[in-house]
Amino acid sequence: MCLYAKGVALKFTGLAALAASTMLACAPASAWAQDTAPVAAQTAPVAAAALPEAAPTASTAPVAAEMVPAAPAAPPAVLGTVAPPVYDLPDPATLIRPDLAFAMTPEIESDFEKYFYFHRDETSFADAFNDIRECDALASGSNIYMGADAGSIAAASAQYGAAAGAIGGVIGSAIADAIFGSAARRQQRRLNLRNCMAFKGYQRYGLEGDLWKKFNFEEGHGRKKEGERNEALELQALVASGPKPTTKELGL
Amino acid sequence: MTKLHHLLAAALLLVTPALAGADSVEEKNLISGKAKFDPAMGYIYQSSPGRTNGVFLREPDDATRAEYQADWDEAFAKAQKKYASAMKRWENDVKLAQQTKKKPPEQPVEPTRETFSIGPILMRDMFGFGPMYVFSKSDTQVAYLNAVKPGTYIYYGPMLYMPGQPVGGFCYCMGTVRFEVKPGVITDLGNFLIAAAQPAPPYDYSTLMAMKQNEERAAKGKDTWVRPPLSFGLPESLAKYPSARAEFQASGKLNNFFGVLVSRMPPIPGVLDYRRDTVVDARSGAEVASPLIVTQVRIKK
Repeated sequence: MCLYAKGVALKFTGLAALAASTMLACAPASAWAQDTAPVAAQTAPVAAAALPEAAPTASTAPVAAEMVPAAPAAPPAVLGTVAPPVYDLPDPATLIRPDLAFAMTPEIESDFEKYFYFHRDETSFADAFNDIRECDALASGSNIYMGADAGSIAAASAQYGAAAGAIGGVIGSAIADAIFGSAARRQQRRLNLRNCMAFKGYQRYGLEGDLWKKFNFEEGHGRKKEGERNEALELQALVASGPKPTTKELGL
Repeated sequence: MTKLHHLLAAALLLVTPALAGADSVEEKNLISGKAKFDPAMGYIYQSSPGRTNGVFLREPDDATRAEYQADWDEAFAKAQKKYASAMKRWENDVKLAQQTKKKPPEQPVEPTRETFSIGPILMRDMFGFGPMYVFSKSDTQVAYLNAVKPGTYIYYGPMLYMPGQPVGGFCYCMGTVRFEVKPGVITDLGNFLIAAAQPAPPYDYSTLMAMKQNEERAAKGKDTWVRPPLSFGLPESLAKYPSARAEFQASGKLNNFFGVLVSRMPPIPGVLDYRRDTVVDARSGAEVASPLIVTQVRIKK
């Protein structure tokens, strides 16, 4: 979002506001790690239906599919393309649908920023899985520190990135990681999932925390084991493509 | 000056050296002759009402791919060598573990052509602009001029990128624009990157929050944020050089290389549109191809 304030200066009212407004982010350890160590980025699970037309060239260095830019008239990938392994989606009939029933209380409702699930009408299990997997891939590995108000940070970054981003660079890695790191990453992951799934046309619904934990996961500093993640994503897809929830749509 | 202002000032000073982009051109240096216009380079000119920042990715061309291939070959050979050494060490460690009846260490993983990576090729020629090192600035406008390798550039989003420093901002990973930069030509982006897009539902979180803040400001009788009108045009100091207005095209999804906030460039009439999350060329109505999006994080088995 790019809006400009006429004669409006961004004001910080304290260190907390500073931290919250500085787009504090660590350099992507994972991205840089790829320069020096083998990374199995290409092994991300993907449903067969989502596979692009692979054009592997055995005699050349493989480039992960994600590294080839999307271009309407892109030249052939001379370095070849490594197709990720096909992920065998289970028959949804073999999965046990998570329990979504709970008695609403104000306390539960206050946690809907953390505990939610997605649903879209007329969506197949495979499509839902591919959508969730893509959003999960975009949202995983969060490196940013957002503080209390993600919206203002993002807006501030777009408009007034100078001070915000610069200060983030100075104190970000040193202080913020220890203080805000894991929680902020989890928060960013949730926001990224919400943005991504909203663009895909999914609605968001709140859920009681313990029910949510049975088919969802949070990631802060670390990454869950792949099997555990995939099982959760499958169940999320089952819910997303299942019967329309009767609870209130939360919007983005 | 408050303590916070001192902190801000100190922080900016500390960061300044890292912001010094070799590719940024300053008007005063061009006028004085300290900076020369290089016809082999391409130039990107852009303006905005205030300081701004962002990242461009350069679409790899044949030369970039060849360099990447050479680097990949070298790195792969090194990785194989390292693996051979690691295997020898591991075999010895296993023997030792057997003798001492301890748990044997984990076997090293052999790098293969299928899994070995030296990083995304799209990041090879990337560069960030702003917020420092402006071309020119006035009360109403800040301009940036960057000398770049000619080619096709993709706007990756309003991020603050400094090599070796933390990255902040958000990526237009779910749809953006691209444009060509020709050698010896100043490509005029005007204020397109901040003025052309017209947000429409479904909004992302940051847009919703910005709208909310705008409403709150309006309710308090304060100035509200307004999108500047779209404008192009170079200053007098660049008039003598060849120039062309950028021709923007819709561009597909991108991976979240920096692990930042995920968003997309809002729709731009005549350029960029969406059908749900599918990027659409607004001129032709055709879908724009996107790569397979995969995690940038090391998989944990």
